[in-house]
Amino acid sequence: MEFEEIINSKNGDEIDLKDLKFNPTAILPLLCECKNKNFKVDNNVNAFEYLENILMEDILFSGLPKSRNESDEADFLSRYVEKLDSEYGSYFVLRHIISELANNVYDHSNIGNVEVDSFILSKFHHNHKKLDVTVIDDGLSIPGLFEKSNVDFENDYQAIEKAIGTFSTVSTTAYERGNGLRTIVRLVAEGNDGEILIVSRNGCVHITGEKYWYYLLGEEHKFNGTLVSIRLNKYEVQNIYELLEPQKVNNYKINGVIHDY
Amino acid sequence: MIIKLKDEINSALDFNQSATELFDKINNLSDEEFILDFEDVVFISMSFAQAYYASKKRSPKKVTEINLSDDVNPMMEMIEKQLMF
Repeated sequence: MEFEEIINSKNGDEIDLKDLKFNPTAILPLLCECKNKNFKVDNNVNAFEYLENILMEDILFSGLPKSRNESDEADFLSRYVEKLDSEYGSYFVLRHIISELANNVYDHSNIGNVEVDSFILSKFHHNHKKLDVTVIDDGLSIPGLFEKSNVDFENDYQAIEKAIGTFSTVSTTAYERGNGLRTIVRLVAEGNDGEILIVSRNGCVHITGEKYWYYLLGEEHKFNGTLVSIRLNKYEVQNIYELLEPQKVNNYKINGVIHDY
Repeated sequence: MIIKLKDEINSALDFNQSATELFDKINNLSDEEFILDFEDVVFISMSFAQAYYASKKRSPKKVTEINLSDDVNPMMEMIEKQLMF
């Protein structure tokens, strides 16, 4: 992965960004690493600040607010979505995706009052009529949350399967159930024929339209936190509320083939 | 008692904690009946709606909603319908 190539090729605390392609899925974990480990680029410049300045120019990038003032946080999410093009999925779909991912970050990643960093980045590919949106946090991770909630699972990719299926740690009753990831996957993959990548600790799933692949990440590729990356096509999702309804069957059940990475 | 949600929380209702805290406040007030005015609320997340109905079901107070726009009513109706199962 591009992020790993950059990190693995660093020299002391200095990283080389000349081949960086600004793919949101690579940029956000890189930002987290730069912030946490105080990496440098040319002439001892702080790598995190360097990337932040570049990203602000033409890619919608921001850290998610840590104010814990929910009105401020809601205002931030509204302003962020207004900068996106609602022809990608629709305003409601974009708002739903970003709101539910933010809910997950705030609810699940800050357990135990541990400081968690979280970021959102969006990039337009105008020529190909696609929009990438990536949200990342360096918090508990999906498997970590399941362990804290005493939920059984055998491997980290199975934890992701549960999270996007019909399961939640919030409650077992239909109306109380947390359904963020499940509904996002359906809106993107089924409603927009888009793509979604979810990476959390040693588990990963890549869904594109009706196809999906689960991965088990080796220890050297382990991701401490959760990354959700979405690619939307330039058309509006129809039948939104049908896609939000709970289902009895998980359309993304592990089918026996797990890829190693 | 009437509570305008746009003023009490925000015109966008994103977070499940907002719903929980709203009903914590309602449950601690002396009034028995509340009208929640959703005028100028432009967005309700699924997380908020779920927490709202879960809290409403547990609350001893009588709570009704008014001025739900076409933008937000479908979400509230969908979650309320799921409540029945």
